[in-house]
Amino acid sequence: MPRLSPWRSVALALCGVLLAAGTIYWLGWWQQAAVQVVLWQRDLYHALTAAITAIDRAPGLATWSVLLGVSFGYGVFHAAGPGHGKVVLSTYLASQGGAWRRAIVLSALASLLQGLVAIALVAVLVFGLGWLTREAMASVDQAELASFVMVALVGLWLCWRSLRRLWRWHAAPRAAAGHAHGHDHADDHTHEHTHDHGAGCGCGHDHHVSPQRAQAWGTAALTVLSIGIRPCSGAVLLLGASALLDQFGKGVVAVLAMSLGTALTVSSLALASVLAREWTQRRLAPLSGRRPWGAWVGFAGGAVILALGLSLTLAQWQQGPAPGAPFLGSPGAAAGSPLLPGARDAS
Amino acid sequence: MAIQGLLSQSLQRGWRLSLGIGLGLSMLGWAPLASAHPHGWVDISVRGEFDAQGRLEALRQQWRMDPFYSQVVMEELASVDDDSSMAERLDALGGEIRNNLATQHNLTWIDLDNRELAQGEVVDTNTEIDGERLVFEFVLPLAQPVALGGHLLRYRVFDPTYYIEMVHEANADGSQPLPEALTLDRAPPGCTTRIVKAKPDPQKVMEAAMLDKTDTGEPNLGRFFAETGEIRCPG
Repeated sequence: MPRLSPWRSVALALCGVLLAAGTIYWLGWWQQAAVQVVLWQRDLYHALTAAITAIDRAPGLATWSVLLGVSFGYGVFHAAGPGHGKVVLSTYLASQGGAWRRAIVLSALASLLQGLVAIALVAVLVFGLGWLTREAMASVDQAELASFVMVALVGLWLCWRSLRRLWRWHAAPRAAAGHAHGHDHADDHTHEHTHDHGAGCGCGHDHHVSPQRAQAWGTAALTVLSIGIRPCSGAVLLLGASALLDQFGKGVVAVLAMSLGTALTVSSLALASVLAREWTQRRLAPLSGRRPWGAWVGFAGGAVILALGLSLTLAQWQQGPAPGAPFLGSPGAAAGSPLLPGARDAS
Repeated sequence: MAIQGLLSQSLQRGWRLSLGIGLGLSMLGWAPLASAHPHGWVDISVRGEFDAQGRLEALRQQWRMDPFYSQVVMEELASVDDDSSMAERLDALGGEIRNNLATQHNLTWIDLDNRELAQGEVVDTNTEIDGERLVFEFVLPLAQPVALGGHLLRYRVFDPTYYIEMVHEANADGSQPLPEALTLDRAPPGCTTRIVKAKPDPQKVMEAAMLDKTDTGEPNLGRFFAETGEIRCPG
């Protein structure tokens, strides 16, 4: 049977995706799923508060399993409703390379870090500095801004790196590009070999950390940090309230179980984007000797992340504080109110 | 034949890519709903109050804040550094909540046969702690008392940003609102009440999410998830 040209098969796949996405949207499945996720999340939140109080009354295997299960489920759906973290991570993985193991490790780290940051925030601000929980929740805004700025930095760095690769390719076209993707990608463990360590790649021999590798891990760490530094204000509320109920330990366990749930969703998505990238790379492998496609794709991915980071930063800047409960003013902002004192020195 | 074979072959190869790109796109499209899930809830109950002429004059509402949000607010009350009593602090909190609500339509929307009814100013606020819950009570008068004979009055209580979910008091598993969550006081004979659960239309929710995101920054999705209380009187 005649083989399709690489370009044609990629284009066909793309058409397939758009057609499938269009159909799913047109049938309304997509919208239904989105609303269902919101409803499940709401129910799980109710169950979560009930579970923490239930343990207090009847501590035991049953109540603990309920708490763990509900928290885990909450994490899964919390991540299924989106957030920039997933977009950044999947764009990063799809455009910059990295094997499936890296995808899973990065997703898990980012999710876990989010939980740990929430725990640290409450431990330091509330226990250490004596802030009110509501003030700690409001500080999530600042963490969010920091996260957005870091996303923009990651994007900028990725663009710069790809530009340098392009520059090198133009300086010495044949030598550099011919080597990078020279191996045959037909065997089964191709995923082991598809990271983009350019010239000088010794596949399978990653005992020593080459400068390129260190750089790649540095970027990866920055990506993880940019996502993980922003805790969910819901997690902060949960921790603060459970501390007030003398149940801080249970709150911590719940938040960690949530992080695991989030990691499951995020790593599935990351895995999907790695698989998609590998498939495309294999299709286009015959062409890769002629042009530095990898660098162009890397540049495009970096540009997307940069644009996302900038637009989020800007929006956050203009919009100001995130919404809170509509019947309560922002904490500390109720200047002149006899009840809620004005901004504390700390905040 | 050959073309069909080619097509199915490449489609088979393409499904993984499709999956990846599809997921990526969908995450972008889904984004507006991200911030939309509630971070706390309020259990509400409502009493329709009628005047001597049998006209509806006010909706008395009781809001029970969820245990966690209650804790966080009570922490704030306890931290006030003066010699006021807890009762005074609760009163002050009630006043503040009333003022905040006044700028936001009291989070209540009332209509008579689909025509919106104007509201008066909230009176009779009372704030207290009931076990683990903070309870806020108030009377929301209608601007003009209305005779309900032969008409349908509907109200909805919700936080437009959906940061806080507002639901009528419900049974243990939260699946059905309790009849006691909507009662009538001094109503003419034959008046009936009903609480209609929200049936969010996914299409509209998604449209609103997209539109609001670009226009104002925050998707105002609360209305789609709001229950409707109905009061009907024979004509």
